[in-house]
Amino acid sequence: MNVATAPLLRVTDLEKHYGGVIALSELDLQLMPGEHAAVVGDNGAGKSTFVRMISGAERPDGGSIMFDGAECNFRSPLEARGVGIETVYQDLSLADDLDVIDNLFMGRELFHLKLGGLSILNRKAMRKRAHELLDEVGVRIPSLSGRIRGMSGGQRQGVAIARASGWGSKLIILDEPTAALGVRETGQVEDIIRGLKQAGTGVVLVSHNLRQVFDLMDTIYVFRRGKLVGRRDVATTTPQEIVAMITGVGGAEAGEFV
Amino acid sequence: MPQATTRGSAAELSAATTRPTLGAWLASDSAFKYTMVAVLVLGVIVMSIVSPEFRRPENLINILQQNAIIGVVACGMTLMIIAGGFDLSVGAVAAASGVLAGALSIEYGLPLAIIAGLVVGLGTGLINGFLVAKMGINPFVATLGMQAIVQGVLFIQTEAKPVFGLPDTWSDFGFYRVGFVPSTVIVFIVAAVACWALLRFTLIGKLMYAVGSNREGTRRSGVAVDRVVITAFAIGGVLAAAGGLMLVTQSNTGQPSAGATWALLAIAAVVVGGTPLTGGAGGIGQTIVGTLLLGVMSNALNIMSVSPYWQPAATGLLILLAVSVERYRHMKRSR
Ligand SMILES: Nc1ncnc2c1ncn2[C@@H]1O[C@H](COP(=O)(O)OP(=O)(O)OP(=O)(O)O)[C@@H](O)[C@H]1O
Ligand SMILES: [Mg+2]
Repeated sequence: MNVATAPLLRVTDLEKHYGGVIALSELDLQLMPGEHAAVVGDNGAGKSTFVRMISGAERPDGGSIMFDGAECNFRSPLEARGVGIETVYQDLSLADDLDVIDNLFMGRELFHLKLGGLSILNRKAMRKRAHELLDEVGVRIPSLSGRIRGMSGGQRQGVAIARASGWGSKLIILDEPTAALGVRETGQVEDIIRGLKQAGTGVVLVSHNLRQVFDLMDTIYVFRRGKLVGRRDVATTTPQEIVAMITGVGGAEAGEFV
Repeated sequence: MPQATTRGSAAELSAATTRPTLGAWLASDSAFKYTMVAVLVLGVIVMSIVSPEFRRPENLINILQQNAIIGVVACGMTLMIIAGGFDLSVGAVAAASGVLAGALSIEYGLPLAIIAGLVVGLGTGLINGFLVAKMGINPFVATLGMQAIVQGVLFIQTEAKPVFGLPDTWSDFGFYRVGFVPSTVIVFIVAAVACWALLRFTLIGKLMYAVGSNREGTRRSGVAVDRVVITAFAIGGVLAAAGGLMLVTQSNTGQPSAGATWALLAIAAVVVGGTPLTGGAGGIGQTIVGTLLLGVMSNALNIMSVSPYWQPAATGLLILLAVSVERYRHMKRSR
């Protein structure tokens, strides 16, 4: 890693609890620009909670988030998007009843005329831009005016990722993007993620699939019981070591690894 | 069926397109829409053949005139249902708007009275929207509560008596016709076109579909979803109030007990046309078809001298039928 470049994301002492449950605590980590980082850990380890904090979906109870050199205190996902952080959620992101174009431009519509809520949508311009967006990401959709509901899981995830990547975003967060997909569809999404690496876009990938993590990512951050127990470079670690860190078995106590 | 504007190597995907079975056809939206149009056209044709009374032009215009009011209310209901809600207080709000505007018009004239009436709808709509969006209260509970409160206040203020002695300007407008088209029908057309354009062309219209389809996902896309829901309820309230004012033009009285069945009728008009109660889909075209269908049915029952007590039962039956078909289509769609 090039020590001269400043980190893209720096999280310090991040903390979140839900009632009595401590979902995240004492979390410190740094991501470099363009880094493809995996976040792994057992169920309930705090991965999704971490994602919600840095994507602005929820506010942390303590700690700080620095992005691109600026202190961030996101009050909404819109603010996170504003600085260049985009998030693809497993199931939640697309509106099934709407078509591809309406979904791609959700919250970022192009207009003929700007008048607040009464702004007139420019669907022609959005259609044109949609073709470019999907091409850049390498997603193939039979019809842009088809509803999301009729599409395969791979196509949906493709639309969601195209939406996240097409806005000069610096960091794209993918929370288990292939969990519900078949083998071929998973392959399609993985190709899209490789494309993001070539484009220099940073990625945080939450995944339970270690094969995928080792194939696609540069670094691995292991979460256990709301804490970061270690960071590894894919080039110098093994799946066995990561599994030991995830489960905490084999003398893998937090201190040894950090 | 997806008309493939096929690009690149999309060929591999075409294997996934649905085969043209009856179930798949029923599940497609346009099919359901055209089925309802066909039912309407067929109903009118059959009734015209069997009943000379039905096919009298004056009767047909009457059907339009009588259903224009519920049509306006149903346009507002359409927006609320698409955005994932619905409003049971439309009848009470309409009555309150009509009574207040009627009473005010005696002293202050119509323009101010009409504005005051519409403000009643705007205010109650904003409160409904606030309760649903910000407080997270189920629309059923929120708007049923609103209907009870508005009706209670209204009955206390008027001692449940109608307001008489209104200026004739009301009924002058109510029975005015442009050519053979009644003024109330023109109001319906204007409301329908405005709501259609809102849904079709504007940002807020698109967002109503988005919020009704996936509220949390839309919120995470950075959309102020609460504002979208509140806007839908506010427009719904204003159109309910407009319906109340239109009713005043028909009777020249302000009736505190008016509108008791309006919520059911308006929801029926929306879902019978093919807009799903679950939100996110549908449109004004469907609501127009649904409104006319209910109107023709009611008129036909009248002509065949069926007891008026059967009317609500027939409406209820039609609602259950429409919702059952919708459930079936939903099951088909989600495979
Ligand atoms: N909204 C919530 N309310 C209450 N508790 C929550 C909430 N969200 C998460 N938690 C709790 O916080 C802890 C961390 O959950 P989180 O969803 O971040 O885990 P995860 O690592 O994403 O797990 P998985 O692999 O199952 O997705 C869990 O104990 C979970 O039960
Ligand atoms: Mg999770």
